[in-house]
Amino acid sequence: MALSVWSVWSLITAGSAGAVAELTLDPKLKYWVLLPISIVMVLTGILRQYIMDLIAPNTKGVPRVKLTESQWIYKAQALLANGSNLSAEAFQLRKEHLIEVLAGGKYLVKLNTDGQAPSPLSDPNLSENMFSMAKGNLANFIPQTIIMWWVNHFFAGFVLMKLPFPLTPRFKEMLQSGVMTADLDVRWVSSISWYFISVLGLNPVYNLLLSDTESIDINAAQQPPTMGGPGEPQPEAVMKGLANDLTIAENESCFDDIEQRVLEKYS
Amino acid sequence: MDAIRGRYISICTSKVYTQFSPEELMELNDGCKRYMQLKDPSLGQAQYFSLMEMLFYLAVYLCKDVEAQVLYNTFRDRLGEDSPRLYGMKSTLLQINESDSAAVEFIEKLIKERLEVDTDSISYLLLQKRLIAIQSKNHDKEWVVRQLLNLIEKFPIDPEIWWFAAQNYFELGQFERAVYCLEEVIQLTPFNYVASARLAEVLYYKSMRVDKSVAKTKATLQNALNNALRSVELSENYLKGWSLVALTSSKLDGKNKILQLAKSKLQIIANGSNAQNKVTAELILKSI
Repeated sequence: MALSVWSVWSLITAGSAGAVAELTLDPKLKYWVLLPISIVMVLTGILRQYIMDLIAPNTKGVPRVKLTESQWIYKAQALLANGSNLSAEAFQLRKEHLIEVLAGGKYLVKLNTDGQAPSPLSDPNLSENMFSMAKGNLANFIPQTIIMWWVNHFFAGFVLMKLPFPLTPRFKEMLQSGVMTADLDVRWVSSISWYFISVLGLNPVYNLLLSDTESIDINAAQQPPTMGGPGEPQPEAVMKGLANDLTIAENESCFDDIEQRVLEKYS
Repeated sequence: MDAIRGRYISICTSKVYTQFSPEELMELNDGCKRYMQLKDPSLGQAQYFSLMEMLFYLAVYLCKDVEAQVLYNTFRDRLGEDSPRLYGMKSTLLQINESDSAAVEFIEKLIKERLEVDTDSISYLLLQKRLIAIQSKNHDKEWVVRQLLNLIEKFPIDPEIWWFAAQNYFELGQFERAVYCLEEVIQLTPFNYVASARLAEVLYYKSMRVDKSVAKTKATLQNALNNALRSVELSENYLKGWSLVALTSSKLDGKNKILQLAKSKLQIIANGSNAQNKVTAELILKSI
């Protein structure tokens, strides 16, 4: 039924010297190899998505004081970004107040008693994050390994299809893995290569079938926006930096020439 | 179908239904239920739950307690109880079925034992607002303001709390503080033309009632005019904005061009707007 490597080779060598041999594939290859691999790949992707949803970690909460700390940082950033919507006096008033609050660390969450930042390795949240990351990776790797074994075991050395467009010889390694022929036209695709192409190229199909972007947005919205985690800037340094930024910040109020602007806009 | 879906979603997200008259509430309730029965395939899951939440509160407003309880049970069975929205619904049901104090006790316990140490950006804030709303009935405005200030200290970037604080300060006659709160709202939501107009209004009242010297009154009126102009700069046909522009510029010297512009805009609104805006614009034009 399937066209073995040997028969491919003999077909090529049987052709006249210098001419490219045209292969004739058994049409049943489409139904018994190409289609099953594709279907199994799509179904596995869908199943993997549902498993990922099931093992996904719940929204992680934080103490309220951490939220307050980050909110004061965002407040300072909002003043820097939107201060132009206030009058000069209002901006100055807020600027002085925020510099005092941020430089004094009034809303800073206190560290350990010895003043040291907590070790990232002893943080239970970190190990939980790493565990959930490992679970996600396993949910990716295990099905891929099983399907790769399945394709290699049953369809090793199969040539499945011919791409309808020309390609440079550089693609030969990618498209014809498992088929040891030096002269076979690069457009022919082997079964294991079809598997790899499917692994890399099915994301748009999954997006189409499993599009649930709203739930992702909701999770993102409900995640508390805090800072100071491993690898992130520490709030104390951020607050001091913002206090410095506010000290040198200049206010250019939107109320300057507003009468003129409105007259020009609507007259 | 898209238009119907869009209408219900905007009513739901803007929470404008909280201001509806009983007839409008009934119409919305029936219409939304009919729409939900159509099983619109374009309605996302989050949108579906938002509409269900709106139906819950509509049932509460319309005194359909059993229906509200059924809706809450559906949510709880589907999503579990651990959600700020579900806490809000549960406290509402406690108010209906038991008493305000039961709802207060439930929220206070939840905040003290759970949310103070493990919360997200929605839960704590939502339940604290709810707590203040329930308790404000039994306390005076000074108490409400104190609670709001406590909450502002914890969550300084929530414009809703600042707005409510401004409202309370205004009602207490503390215009300076109301102005500060409204400026915070504008700083956090810079394109909020409604807040700009409200700030102009509060400044106008301040200039009329508080400021004693002529120079100070003029400065405050100029500030009010600036904010009113900002609101109409952001929204061309905003009636309240143009009314305040006309009102403040009529009391200031050398603002004839602005005054004429405001009058012409009010005339346009009076000619081509809805009945309510038309009457208001005509009244303003007569009074200036």
